Amino acid sequence: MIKIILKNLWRRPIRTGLTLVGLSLSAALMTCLLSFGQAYESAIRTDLDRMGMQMMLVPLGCPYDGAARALKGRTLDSSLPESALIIAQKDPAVSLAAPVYTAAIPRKGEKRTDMWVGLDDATIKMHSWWKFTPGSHGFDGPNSVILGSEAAATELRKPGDRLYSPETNRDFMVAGVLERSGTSDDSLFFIPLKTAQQMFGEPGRLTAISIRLKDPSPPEIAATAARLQKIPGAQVTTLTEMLGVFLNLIASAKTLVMAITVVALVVSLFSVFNTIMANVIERTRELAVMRAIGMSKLGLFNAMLMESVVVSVSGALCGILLAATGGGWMERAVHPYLPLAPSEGLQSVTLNAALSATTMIMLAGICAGLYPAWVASRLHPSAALRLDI
Amino acid sequence: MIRSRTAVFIVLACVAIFAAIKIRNAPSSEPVLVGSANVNPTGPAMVPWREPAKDMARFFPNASEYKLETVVLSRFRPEILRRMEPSYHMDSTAVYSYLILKNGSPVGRVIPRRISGIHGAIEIVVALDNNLTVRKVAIQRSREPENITNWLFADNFLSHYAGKDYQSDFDLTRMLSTTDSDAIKTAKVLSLGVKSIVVELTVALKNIAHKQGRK
Repeated sequence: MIKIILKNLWRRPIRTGLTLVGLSLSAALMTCLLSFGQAYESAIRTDLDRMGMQMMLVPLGCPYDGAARALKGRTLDSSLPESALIIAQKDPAVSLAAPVYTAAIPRKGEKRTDMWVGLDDATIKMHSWWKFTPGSHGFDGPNSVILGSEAAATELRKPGDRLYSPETNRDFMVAGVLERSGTSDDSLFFIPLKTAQQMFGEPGRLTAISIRLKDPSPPEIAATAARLQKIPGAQVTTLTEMLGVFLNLIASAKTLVMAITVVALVVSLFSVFNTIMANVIERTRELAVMRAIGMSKLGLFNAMLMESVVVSVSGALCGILLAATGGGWMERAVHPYLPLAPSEGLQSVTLNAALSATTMIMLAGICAGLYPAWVASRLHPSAALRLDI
Repeated sequence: MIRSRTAVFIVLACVAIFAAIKIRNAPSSEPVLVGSANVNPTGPAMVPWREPAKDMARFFPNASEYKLETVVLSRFRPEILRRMEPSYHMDSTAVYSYLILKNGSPVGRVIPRRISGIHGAIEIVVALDNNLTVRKVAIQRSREPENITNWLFADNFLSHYAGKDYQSDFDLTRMLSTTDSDAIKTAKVLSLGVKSIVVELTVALKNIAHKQGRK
């Protein structure tokens, strides 16, 4: 049976090929989207867990924007008073309160921006993923700087070298260079908190405070957040809230793209329908002969339906192959635009996503093949043979 | 029937390939600048040429376009190292050079390179004539403080590199009228950077030309 089906499909290679291309693209898109969604959620959870904090104190404004910028090492338009840090540190539920001051120096001629991040020992403790290159160590004075791997490569610096900031007229000694982490840390210049505040003329001001709790249970997080929310000039964003916001953002985008995928799928369906229907019309005489020599209506119905299933499953398989080979490229293209992009690459094809896409496309193929199969099964041998096709 | 179908298929494939080539080679927003394939722009030794139009107008006023060429150095490493100072650390296996063209004919080359200054990276841009002598040197990026930039990055100091070839003495510290140790160190680094470009390119291109001549 399969041999006959394949032979029939091969009679019109261009038509079958174009149908397969359409189905493959839909399947690839669907597989990538489903895989990205699953991988993004799990990667972002891992990233946030690795930070070992449960909430952030950010200046008044949009709390999610503030927290996202602080997490990505970007600047904020407003800042927090340092008194917020003292209040947070005194809170009985807080195990660690880590202040951050971030400032940007745009280098227009180079089309890049130097991001300077001021941190103290508590903040460094929270960067558990930091790994120093040989010869590196932590801050050993107010004018020491720790460079992310990319920053060090761009400036050709190694521990013990000097680094000058022409815009602020400050000379630093490179205390350490971080190993590549795949996070935004790679391109940052880390300096002691006080130095950063002085350098940018904002003594006593902070961009954000990361909070680690002694007991990270949901009721404790809620109770602490309610207490810290009362700090003047500050607002609290819990990581659970942030995760929810990010996933909602992704979900909205995913819905939109899914709609496009569904449209692509419908177009492909019509293409399958067209292919099978054209096959039925072209082969009316042949099908009539098959009926005349004893093939049952159900047999003919099954044969045509199988043709549709074979086309759709082949399209789905090609699509998965396409997603597996081109998914990495797509992931690299999309990664910079994801809010709080996870540090690790997103797996381009998961088994779940591949199975879901194949099932959906196969079901769609069955739907598309029902009518042509029904038409084929209703052919009357004598009437069909009289037709001048 | 099958033949006609195959013919249609071949025609469609040709059209698709032709369209893909056309799209790939479509002129950019700066039509005078010709890019080149076969180069990995993310390679470690690749330094962006930040202001090609401006530099071209300064270095080669009549040039109309440029294209990127990669000169592989691996085979010539021993000779390059022999011609350089012992302190020279050759960390690249290729020179990414921009061949400057005037009406399709080469008039020279521009090579940007990142060197390690005292206070951060310094990006130099070296323009070479067709005979691989230095035409001009410019600084496209640095973090150096004024006590260095005032002395070293001024045209009257950089102009001393003009006319130098791979056999010349590149030490220009005697040209400096300052005793600032940082300025002297940076001048040495700068000279080493310019010399390395000239030597690497000269050794590689001369060997390649010699080999092609024998063929």
